[in-house]
Amino acid sequence: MFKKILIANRGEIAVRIIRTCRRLGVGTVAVFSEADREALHVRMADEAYCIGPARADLSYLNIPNLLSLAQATKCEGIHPGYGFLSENRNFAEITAKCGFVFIGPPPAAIGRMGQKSVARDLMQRSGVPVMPGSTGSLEDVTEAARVAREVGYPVLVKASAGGGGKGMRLVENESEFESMFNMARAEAQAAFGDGRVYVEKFLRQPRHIEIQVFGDQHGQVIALGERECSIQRRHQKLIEEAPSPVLTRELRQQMMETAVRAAKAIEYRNAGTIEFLLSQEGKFYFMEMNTRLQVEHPVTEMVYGYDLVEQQLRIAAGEPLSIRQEDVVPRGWSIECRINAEDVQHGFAPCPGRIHEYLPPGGPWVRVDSAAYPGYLVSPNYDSMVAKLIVWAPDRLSALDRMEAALREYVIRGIATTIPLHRLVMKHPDFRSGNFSTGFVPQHLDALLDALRREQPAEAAPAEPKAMAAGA
Amino acid sequence: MKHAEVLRRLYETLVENEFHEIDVRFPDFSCRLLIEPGSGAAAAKEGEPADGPEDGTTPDPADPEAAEVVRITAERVGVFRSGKEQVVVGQKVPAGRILGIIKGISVQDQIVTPREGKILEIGIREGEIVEFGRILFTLGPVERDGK
Repeated sequence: MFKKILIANRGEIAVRIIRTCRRLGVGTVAVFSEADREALHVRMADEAYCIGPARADLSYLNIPNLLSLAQATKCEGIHPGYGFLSENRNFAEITAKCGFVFIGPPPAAIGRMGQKSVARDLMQRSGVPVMPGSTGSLEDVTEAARVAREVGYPVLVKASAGGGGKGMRLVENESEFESMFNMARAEAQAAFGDGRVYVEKFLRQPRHIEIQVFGDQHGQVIALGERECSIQRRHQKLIEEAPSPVLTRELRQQMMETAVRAAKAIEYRNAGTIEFLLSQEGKFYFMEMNTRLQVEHPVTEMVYGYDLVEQQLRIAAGEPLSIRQEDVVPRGWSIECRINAEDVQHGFAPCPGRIHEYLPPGGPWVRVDSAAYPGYLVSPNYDSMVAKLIVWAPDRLSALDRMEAALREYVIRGIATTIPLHRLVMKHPDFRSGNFSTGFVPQHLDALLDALRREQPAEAAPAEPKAMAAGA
Repeated sequence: MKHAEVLRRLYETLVENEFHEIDVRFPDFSCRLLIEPGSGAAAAKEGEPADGPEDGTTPDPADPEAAEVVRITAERVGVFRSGKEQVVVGQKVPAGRILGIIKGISVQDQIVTPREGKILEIGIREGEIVEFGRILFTLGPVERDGK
């Protein structure tokens, strides 16, 4: 095991990594920007050094400073956390060249999975189902219609150069294909100056299900079950759970075997996550692979009983995987809510500021992964996640109730957070039934916000006159 | 000739590093130098916005002496090496004097006095780890005769 590592990150994930290191007797070197001088990870680490100004590109992304510090402090390894440099192939490569262990996958795996088309081809070749569609862009409408028929309606016509829904058309049946195809092309040409389009199968009400994998340096690969991450807004996950309410034992087995095959095909090592879209008919398709520890890793820890950061460190130190696939059995249910400093009533606008009152929830099977404390300043320089609230219970409905109670107990004053929204979701009949998809938030957001508006003035109003009276 | 000497030494010091642009101002003339990247140490004049940590001292704008105090802060992380000719507090140093180096993983950055002055404080010891923004040296004005 390592004697000392450098943690090239901040916030809750730096704190999370430090906690495991302390338990394992691994020394920690924290880094911080000038904006994070008072941060919790700085206080908790054995050593902490300022590496740059607030701007992330000059501090947390400053490779020369990070490596110089790792050398000066005699660290053996570097844990990148998530975000920042965690999926930067170049950083992983230089780290290794400078003689440190990159606590993550090999640089080549990061590189290949980072390119969408390369990843898709690789997966397809290793027998992983990918979303059916045309392999390249399509010029001819007859050829495109043939592909659409093969793939099966409904299909999406998408701009090759596109993004943000421009140059994208949903085609329900063959009779409208030609006109939709031409419209998409014209729109793509107008928006991107590039009229190339491709055809892809469209899934109605899909679910986002991801599989956690681990590979060691001795060729073993295992899968640690799934996480259900369908509750998301604009591709930002809000709530995650494990297991998924819709996976049968057989489907879980099938998805885990597929994920292991994919990871083996690219000689993957350390922690990784393969994201799939699951159709209503129970068919799953590869979306992308995240070559790092995920934000939502705690729900997997809660139901499988393994510390994923510990597994990362052991694998990076060269130890063989101690988890056997046959021992991987989920126990109970776990849910995570991402508590963000965001004003949900105003388009989820980030809400940085000082937390002047902070009281996290507790009790059995309630876990808070956070770097916040009373007086903590949520910086506008970095992402707006303040905490992850994670609960466990023997079954799903009990977990939802426990989460709702914990959210009610959670006091964060001074900034707007997503806590009130999470409380409403925990009580929502569709969420409770388990019958939801990635369409849940877009479908129900307006109603949820209405409910919040009705609820919040009543809650906020009495507090102010009281405060004024106390001041007078 | 003095100007030429200062410029030469500034140039020599920084040319090995990464691309950088600096303005040099003398009382009677100013110029801009375009140099190779990443100067290791930068001189921040007190009272001017600097990326260094706040030390709570605010120079009195009415006091010309205070305005001449220069804090040399670290812009790079590494280990400090003072070299053979260590300076001591109270020592007068010319412009362009190398006060030490910050040794990073693949770069060595020299810490150079931006102008002549007297060493008021030394904030770093041989072999210490240098953080970003650390005040390495404080340079005061040289006392003139009759003052």
